[in-house]
Amino acid sequence: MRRHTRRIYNLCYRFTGNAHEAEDLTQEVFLRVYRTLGSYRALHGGFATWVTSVTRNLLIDHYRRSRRDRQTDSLEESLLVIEQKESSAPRPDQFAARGELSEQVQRALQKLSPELREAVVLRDLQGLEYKEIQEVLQVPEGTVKSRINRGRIELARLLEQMGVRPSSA
Amino acid sequence: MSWTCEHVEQRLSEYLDRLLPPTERAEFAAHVEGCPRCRPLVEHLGGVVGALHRLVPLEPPPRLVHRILEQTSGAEAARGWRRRLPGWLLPVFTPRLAMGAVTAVIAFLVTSQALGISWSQVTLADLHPSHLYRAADRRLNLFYARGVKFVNDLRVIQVLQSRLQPATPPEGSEPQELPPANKTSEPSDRPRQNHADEILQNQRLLAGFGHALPSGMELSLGRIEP
Repeated sequence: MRRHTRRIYNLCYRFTGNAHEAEDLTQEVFLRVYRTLGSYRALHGGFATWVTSVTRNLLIDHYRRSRRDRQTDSLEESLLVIEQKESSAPRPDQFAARGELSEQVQRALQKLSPELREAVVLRDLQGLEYKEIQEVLQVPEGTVKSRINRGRIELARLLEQMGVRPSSA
Repeated sequence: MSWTCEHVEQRLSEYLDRLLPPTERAEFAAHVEGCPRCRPLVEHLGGVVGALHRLVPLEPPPRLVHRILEQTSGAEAARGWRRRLPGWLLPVFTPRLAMGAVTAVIAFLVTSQALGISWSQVTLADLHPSHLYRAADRRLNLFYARGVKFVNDLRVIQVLQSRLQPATPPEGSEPQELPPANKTSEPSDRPRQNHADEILQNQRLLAGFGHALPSGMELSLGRIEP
């Protein structure tokens, strides 16, 4: 239970970038899993993969909902937020000086499109195999490979722009 | 197959995840080794992927696990009806307010009982303000009458006691003479009457006292055989 909670919480946090939203979504995931436990079939992969699928569907729903909310905001408010973000955003050298790689990765992840973000998070932060990601996302294997590859390249480019060049060691 | 930079970029993740067949892997490595554009890209991406794998998972707040357990163990379901209530109604179900409400209901029932309201026979017309006023007034008058009767009873008892007091001699004084009726029937040196004679005497006193009672008050004494 605790292990699953940690895994789902991390998945939600890495996708949304917000601790409170991740907490609420994790709770929602377990409630949905609890309610739909009868629909789980072992043939469709392991329990963890099924829970991850439920999480992914909720995350996508959440993303669409929040995007719709953002679109309904007035243009003035949007511009104000952008201005505030730009003024408060640290310069690349300041970012590197902070040295918090987890935060930097998180900021870069937030800039990825949801399709690429979920592929990278599932592969590199959740450690899922390509086959499992294919089951979770319900897309062909070629699409999974393509999304992971494009997501990683985009993430590397964003981190480089932020002045972060992690060593492979 | 001769690998181009585009091919390398497309298969980069498969190379890093060791999913390429040995021959393709060797060709990939051969191109990257001699390509000034692809080599830094592969190194940088390798570093990013390695950093992602090394990230320490975040620890969820402890309250989250408690919330989930509470939600899925049935405790939440038992409290579900309260969640469906509107927000302004929730404070009503706090223990303090609930106790206050119960006390108010008990006080209301006691008051209504004292006013003589029988809830099984109450009709809508009984709840009219004028009817309620008349019922309360009637009840109040009844209470007042009972109180007056009680005070009058006390006064009668006081008068009786004051009338009976002369029959007992005060301390330190000589014994008074008995009434003539007793004188004839009993010897004068007897220290005390028997009980039946004492009651008979009291009856005679009360017979003479009848006119002193307040109007409407009745005093009945049982006949006692000597």
